[in-house]
Amino acid sequence: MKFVIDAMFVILFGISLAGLGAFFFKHILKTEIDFFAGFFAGCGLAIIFLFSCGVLSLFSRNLFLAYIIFVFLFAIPGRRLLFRHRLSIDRSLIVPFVILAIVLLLSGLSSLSPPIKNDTLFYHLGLPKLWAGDGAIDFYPTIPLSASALNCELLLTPILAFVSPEAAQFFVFMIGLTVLAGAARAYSKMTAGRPLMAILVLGSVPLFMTGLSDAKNDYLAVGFALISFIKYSEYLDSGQLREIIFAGVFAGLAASTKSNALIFVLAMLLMLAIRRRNIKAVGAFLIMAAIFGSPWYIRSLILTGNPFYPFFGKLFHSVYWRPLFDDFNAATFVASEHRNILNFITSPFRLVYLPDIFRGRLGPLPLAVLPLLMLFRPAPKAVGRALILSAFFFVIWYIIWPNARYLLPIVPLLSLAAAYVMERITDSGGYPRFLGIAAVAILIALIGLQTGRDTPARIKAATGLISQEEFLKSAMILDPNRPASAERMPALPYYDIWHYLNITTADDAVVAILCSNWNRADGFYLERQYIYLNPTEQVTVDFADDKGRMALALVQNDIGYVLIDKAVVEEFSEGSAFSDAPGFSILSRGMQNFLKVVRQNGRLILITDRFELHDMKGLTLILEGPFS
Amino acid sequence: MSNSIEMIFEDRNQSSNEAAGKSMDRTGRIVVAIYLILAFGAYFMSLFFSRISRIREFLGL
Repeated sequence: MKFVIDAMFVILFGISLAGLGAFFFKHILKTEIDFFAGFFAGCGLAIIFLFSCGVLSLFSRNLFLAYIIFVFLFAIPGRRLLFRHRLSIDRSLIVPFVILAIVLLLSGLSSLSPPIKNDTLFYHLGLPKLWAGDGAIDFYPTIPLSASALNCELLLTPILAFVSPEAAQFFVFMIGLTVLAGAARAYSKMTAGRPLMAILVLGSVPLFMTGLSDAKNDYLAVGFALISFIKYSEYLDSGQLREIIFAGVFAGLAASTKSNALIFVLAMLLMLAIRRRNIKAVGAFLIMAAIFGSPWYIRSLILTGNPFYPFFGKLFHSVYWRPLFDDFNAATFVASEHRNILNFITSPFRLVYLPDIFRGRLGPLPLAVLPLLMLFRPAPKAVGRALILSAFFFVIWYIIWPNARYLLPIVPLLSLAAAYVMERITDSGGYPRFLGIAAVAILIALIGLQTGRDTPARIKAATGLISQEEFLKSAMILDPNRPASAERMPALPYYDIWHYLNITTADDAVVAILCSNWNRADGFYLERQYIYLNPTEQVTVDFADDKGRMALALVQNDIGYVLIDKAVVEEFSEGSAFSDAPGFSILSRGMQNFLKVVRQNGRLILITDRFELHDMKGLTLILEGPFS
Repeated sequence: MSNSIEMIFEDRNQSSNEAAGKSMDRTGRIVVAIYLILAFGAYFMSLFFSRISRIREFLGL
């Protein structure tokens, strides 16, 4: 029954956050807002509070308890707001709606299982776990993304610490649902259309749906961006400056949730600047976006010397980063879009039909049906605004980093326009109506099939049909490095080793985990301190150093155990697929030196076909004296 | 610039919505149906062929 408690807690907490946001707007800002804007406003208030406490190292179980109780005080106004909304279900759309409901139910249940996805364990829930343990939002030099914008991870910290990682994961699923419903509400309000159509269109976007059960931070950024657009639209309709101030606040919150949402701020600024409606509005938007968007970037600048760490390393030099890392990582990363004018012009088409280079599927609805707008003029102003903003975003996105997932902040906006087209098509009756509804149903069903591969095992684990232990030992995932190959591999091949360390080692033992961009063993289920030794991401143990310095670095960091992943060793050894990459010889020599230090001075205590675990107490004894 | 673009987009209400939808003539419907078949058909084909390449990869062909 644990999953029921987790789910009930999160649902009630989410409703309470909406109540908190709406209460604040009503009584402090004297403005009425709906449930969805209230939810994201509540998240924003919670983030401001948690960020302040995290910076001041005030995180504790008592603080989290007080915070949760305080938020729950707003459950009743939140419930009242929620029940004001009704979803009318058109009979003609019942089939795709039922399919979508099943897919969402399965995703929701799946999100209540113990987390197993690499990014989730490394960052999205890994950092909250570390922060809760350390009592502060620390920067970890061996986890470069711990310096970036992390609003979502911050919001998950009390839930993970006080309830469970599964509840935190389900909370992100709920954020996704709120975005879905919020987009539908915006569509209905702005175009007088049927909200269900917007839900179905957004629900048919693989990019949006496939990450719902994996605690991805994109959804919170998307939600903030959506509310910012709604407020911007309200400003254009009413001319009230306070609406653009709110738009700036939410755009800033989006930018401080995920770095790619900085593009959204730029696109909004371009929209505002080009309209030349009011210089005050541009200023107000910019100031609010800067105030609410900058804290994480300022923190990063102070901690690392680079506000966008670990990105733009060559522009902003950091003591924690080497130019070699950028060169090597760029050469060994998966192939990316070759940017030129012709490719730019064809990119919307390729995003839909040939998406491999963009590493994510957008599906046909957000882009492919838009040309039909020409047949359904005049379209609502909101559709025009959404499309123009999306166009600005798209251009900047293409210039900076054309990865499909970074388009997510505009996916709800494109969906508003696509929903309008689809609604016109279904209104027209005849073959187009049948084709439109059938296509939406098939698209959603395909997403169900795609996400369903991991779902049965995860649902069994969530509902207690198999134990957490058994699930974590046996869980299989798609190869994260080749998601298109359909090849499955154990999610946590090192789980038994962590289990061994959790039982046999002292509480204060520190474990070093050798990993790389392609093979990342994570320490989420290791109940000991750990550091990641990725040769191309950290200098705590610098692989460009000589043997003596590497050994000293291990001792200085109190490393008691080292986990060697042979797959990582192969990456940096002769015959590696990366042997032509810049700096390979330096890193390869470093890897051999590192192996010598560990194997010659450590004691091999556990070995599997892929991993070696070494006890490094011997090295500490050798080096502690002379260097202390 | 955006003002001129937004000229295309005007406010409307639900009734004009429905009118716009229902006013599409037979030719309009045929055009829309052909467009949808092409747009969605091409997408489903692209999905299918991505599966084919996976199967080939799996079989080592």
